[in-house]
Amino acid sequence: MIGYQRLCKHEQCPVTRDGALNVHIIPHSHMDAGWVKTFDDYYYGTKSSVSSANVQLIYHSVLSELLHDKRRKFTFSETAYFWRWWKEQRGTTRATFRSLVAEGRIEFAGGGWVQSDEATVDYLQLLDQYTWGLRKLNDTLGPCGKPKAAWQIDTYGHTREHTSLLAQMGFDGLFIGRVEHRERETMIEEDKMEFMWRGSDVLGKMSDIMTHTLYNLYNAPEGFCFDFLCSDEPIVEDPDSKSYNADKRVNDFITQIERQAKYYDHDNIMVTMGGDFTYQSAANWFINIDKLINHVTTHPANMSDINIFYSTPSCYLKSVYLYGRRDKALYTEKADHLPYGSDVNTYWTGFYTSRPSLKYLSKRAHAFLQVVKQLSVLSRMGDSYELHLLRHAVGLVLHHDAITGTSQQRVANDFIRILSEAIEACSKKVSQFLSVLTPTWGGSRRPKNSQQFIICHQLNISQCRSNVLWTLEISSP
Amino acid sequence: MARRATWTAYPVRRSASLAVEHCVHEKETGPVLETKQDDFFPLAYDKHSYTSGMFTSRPTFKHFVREANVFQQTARQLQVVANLGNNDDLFEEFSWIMGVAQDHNVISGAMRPYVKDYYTEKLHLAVQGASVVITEAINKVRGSPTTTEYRLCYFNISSCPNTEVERFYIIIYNSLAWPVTMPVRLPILNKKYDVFDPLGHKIKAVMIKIPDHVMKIPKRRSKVEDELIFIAENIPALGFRSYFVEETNINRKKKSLIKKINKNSQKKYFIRQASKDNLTYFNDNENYDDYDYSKTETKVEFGDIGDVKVTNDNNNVITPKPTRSAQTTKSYDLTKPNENIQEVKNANDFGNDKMADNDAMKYDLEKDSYYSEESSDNFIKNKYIQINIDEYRKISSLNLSNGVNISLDIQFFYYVSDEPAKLNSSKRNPGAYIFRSIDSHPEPIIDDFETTIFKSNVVEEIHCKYSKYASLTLKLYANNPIVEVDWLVGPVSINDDLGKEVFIRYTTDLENKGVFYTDANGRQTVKRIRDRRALYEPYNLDHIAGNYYPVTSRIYIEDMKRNIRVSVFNDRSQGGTSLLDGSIDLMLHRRILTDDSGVQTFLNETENDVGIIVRGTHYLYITKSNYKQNRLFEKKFAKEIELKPQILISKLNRNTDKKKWIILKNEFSSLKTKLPFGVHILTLQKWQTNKLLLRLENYLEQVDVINDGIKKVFLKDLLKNIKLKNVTETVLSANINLKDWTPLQWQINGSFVKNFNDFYGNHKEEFSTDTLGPVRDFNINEAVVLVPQQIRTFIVDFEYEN
Ligand SMILES: [Zn+2]
Repeated sequence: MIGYQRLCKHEQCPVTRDGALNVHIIPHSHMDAGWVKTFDDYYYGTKSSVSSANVQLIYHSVLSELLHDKRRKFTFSETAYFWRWWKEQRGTTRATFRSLVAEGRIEFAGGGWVQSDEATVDYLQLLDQYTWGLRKLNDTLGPCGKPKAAWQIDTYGHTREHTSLLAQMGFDGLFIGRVEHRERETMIEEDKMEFMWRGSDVLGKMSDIMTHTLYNLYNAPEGFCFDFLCSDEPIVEDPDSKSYNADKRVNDFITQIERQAKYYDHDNIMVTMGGDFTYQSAANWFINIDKLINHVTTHPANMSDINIFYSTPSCYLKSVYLYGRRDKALYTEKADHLPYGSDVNTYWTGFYTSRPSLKYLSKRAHAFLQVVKQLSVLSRMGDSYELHLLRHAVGLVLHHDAITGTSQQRVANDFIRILSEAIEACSKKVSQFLSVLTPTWGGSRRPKNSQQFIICHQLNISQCRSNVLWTLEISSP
Repeated sequence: MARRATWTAYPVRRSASLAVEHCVHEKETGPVLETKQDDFFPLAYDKHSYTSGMFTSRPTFKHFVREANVFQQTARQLQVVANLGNNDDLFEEFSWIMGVAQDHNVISGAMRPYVKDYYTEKLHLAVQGASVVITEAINKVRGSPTTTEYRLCYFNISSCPNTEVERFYIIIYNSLAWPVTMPVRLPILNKKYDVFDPLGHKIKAVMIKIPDHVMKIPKRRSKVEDELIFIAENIPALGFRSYFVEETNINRKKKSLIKKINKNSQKKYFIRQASKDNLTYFNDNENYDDYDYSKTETKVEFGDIGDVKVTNDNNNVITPKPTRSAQTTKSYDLTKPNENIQEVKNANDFGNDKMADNDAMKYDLEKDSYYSEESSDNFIKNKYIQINIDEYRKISSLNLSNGVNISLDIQFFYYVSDEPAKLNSSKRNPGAYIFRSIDSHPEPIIDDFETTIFKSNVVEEIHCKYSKYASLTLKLYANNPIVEVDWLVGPVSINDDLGKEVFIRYTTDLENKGVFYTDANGRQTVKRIRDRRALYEPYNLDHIAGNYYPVTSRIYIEDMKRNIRVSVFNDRSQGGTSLLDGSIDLMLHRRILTDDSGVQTFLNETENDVGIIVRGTHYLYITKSNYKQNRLFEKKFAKEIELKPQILISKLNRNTDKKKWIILKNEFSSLKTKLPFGVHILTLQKWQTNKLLLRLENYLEQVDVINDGIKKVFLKDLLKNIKLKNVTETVLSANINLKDWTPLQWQINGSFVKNFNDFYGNHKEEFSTDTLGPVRDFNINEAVVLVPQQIRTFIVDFEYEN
């Protein structure tokens, strides 16, 4: 087993760019093993009056589209369908499929026999279905076909035990789609769309798994479902065409992904492009996603520096994992044992101490951001514009070249200004929050106008301009 | 604010201090992840639409998948231990359907009827395939002709053509790694039968009447009205035992002959005894380090509890009283507490063979009587438990021999399912996923109430009919601390055009203060608090559907002050909750006339255009909550339900003969050494030629164990006749060698609490400090060490020893 990663070119994950918003486009198709039709009906496309779903067509269509362009990638999940398809293929088709897997262009996520339910199943049967599915992948595709991301995108609720089992199966991360509406709001407020989930108290770390909550269930952004099942407009990029819409469509897309970017704490986002039994006519999708990628990349309005590319769940995990990491070198050394390889050339040491003061400010700002976020939750005041400002500023500084201090002085000054303004704005907000939270006479929750809190941001030079000094009582460092 | 703060304090407070620490004192490395330690249940689309219906939807399919699982595990084990030829195709088929059944639209019940029928058919075929493997293996082990056939019974309708005859034998296979004791019930002719164990000894058996409500199941064509009941004690681990059953009259006629046969057969039998693998299962359960049967609480001496009074100040207990009139159900005062709790005046009075108070016992059964009798007593009992009925003949209270007295009411109810369209509402429809009652009023089902008590030397039963479509049988087996509730629901009428969600409510006088516990996937238990969530504030929560959680094996409540725990174990996934203090609700069956998710069909299961009948079992267990031994018992018992030993019946055959039967090997265990208490052989299957997949599990939890709970198993002493050689340890899914796997090191914000259940609601902030140890190569000669809840997976090279 050792060393197989060299053969499976997983280092061919797309190159992300520090400082840019890296947009991972994940083409995928969600295939239930039974619902309105049986497994066989879904596979062969029979009972088309009930549902047009046709899994064998999806496999063929995706396979031939992937051959058109080396950049394209696709994520499959349910091994039961793959196995049925595989049994019916000739040697050459199998070889093609296998090489696409080895190149990291076809990836299996989850890889259980099906995407299992969690609420109602028994753990032994869960283990059996994962073992069976993963074994079939191993028998057919070899070690390169081994899924690294668990993929429970449509399951209605998630159990701790299932999570614990996934962690112990060696998955690097878990992607989930459905979260209770109110809990989702809280997760957004508390910056928990990605979180570390502990599946079992008794097993502790053995049962921990990084979990990503998908932004839009597992569907494409609004208006960008290019399947024949959807009626969204294709992208027309010929400026001479009367139907030209590329600018408008791309702007719309960028607006959506920038909104999404706010919900995650680093410079990678994952855009699922698919749905239930999509990609029967894979060309629809790939042609339009190609155009989207080209146009976003070259679009003059691409002010926010968006780096967009085809990707897979495991490449996304890798990018997030490596994001901002200093121990990339160490990681690379261990690559023999690790599913991910990493480029040696992403390894720098010089930036540790560049521009120490900016770093200090950004750390303070980050700490302050946590405080503001918590207070806004505690005081039930909800998300505010000021909080967005600070989140954005901290994100900007932390996530981009700024923090490494390699940027020019002019840029650095600009960052300092943005940070300071955001902190200033938020300080006022914090005062409001605290008024709400502080008990007043008679237990009233109404803000007491006379009460004001001023936050001292200059204690590092033991100076405070105000005569009211408040140390963050609940949240004090 | 204070309330809100308590709910979220742990993530908030932790993250605040630690975020700053991270920022100031540590290097910035990668995203810092927040932590989560609870789960995502129940899922709601919006404030009106909780997908807590799927926990119960299609209850018969859910149960069939569970049953099929036992056959799959059994066939896999026997394939290995009996060294059979290649059966890969059969196992491939079985894995196909068992895998597909786990899909989030399949086992959840959200499929069209024809899809369900198709998969049910596939499951039947798979079980048949497994039976071929099982038959082959059993014949090989028993030394019986390869043509010997076995049959399965329709136990779900108490019907079995192969036992409704004068002579037959059964084989009970136990796939668990410890001996299991279980009651056996076989539909028989109205005659006296004798039951023989493999040594030819007659064992105690009784005949009891099949409940009326079971006999009326339309599908049940059998005319048979009685069941034979006996206790199969200590069925060997990873093995089986056979019992021979024969009509007594026949015995008498051939009495002299039988004696002779017995002599002969004894001789032959002892020859077989010489074979080295005979009877090596373990009857003695002593020396289990974490579990000492002799000390289980239910066996403690009866103390004088004359002054123990059952108090009755719980105003929440819903106990509708049956009346003669069928149409008055709605007028029951649901808030009226139960006033009829009986009280054990002197615990010494029961548990002894002679009853001190003789008026209570109208029928004194002869000690070895085969027949059961209808009794006019107002209680049933065994040496641990007494269950009383009140003047309305409704179950009213329960006493344990150790002085625990609780009130107990068992009642069926239904909620009318919401139909938004009829009410001009824009809410989503209920369906296979979504459960929403039209209002918060549960309708009691008690329009045709009737109670009959039957007593025998093996089991005492209360047959309780609540309505034409809802009834139950309460069973107390001798020497068994479990109360079995055999419930039956259906056909649920929809003549009023109302969809119905039928549930059963167990009401006690416990004060659980809104706290209850449900299991996750049959393993860990997760704490729930009524109307609350661990990490966020669920305002606008639907107080009914929003409090339902999946119960895949067990739900329990505890009264901390009175030190009592009441658990209900189930035989399939069901939605469960504790909406009123002291009560446990479990959703049994759903027949509704709307669709929620585009499957375009109603959850309206019928057979021949009539609503289906669902039958299942709940197991009630009541204990003092601080008694650790009994926690261990509960864990073990849950496994015995999950992998309940299955009964094979000899195929109807004129030549069935005890003489021929007794010379065969009728008792077998493939386990070489007794395993420590708490160790479960989770997987034993052929992996490749000469390779096994083996999973060992320590199913105990830290809170259960007395010592550290660490168990050791030596693989070389595991299986009889099978030599395990090289061992490779893998991750749980057996697709990565453990030493080739390095988990990613993510940065997290704060620490995990040591025990979520202790933290949630109690605010006990003790933090976990665990680290991951290095992985070493595993050597076959060393002990497999299993910490509580750990499962270890091995691919093992093996060879047969003879
Ligand atoms: Zn789905």
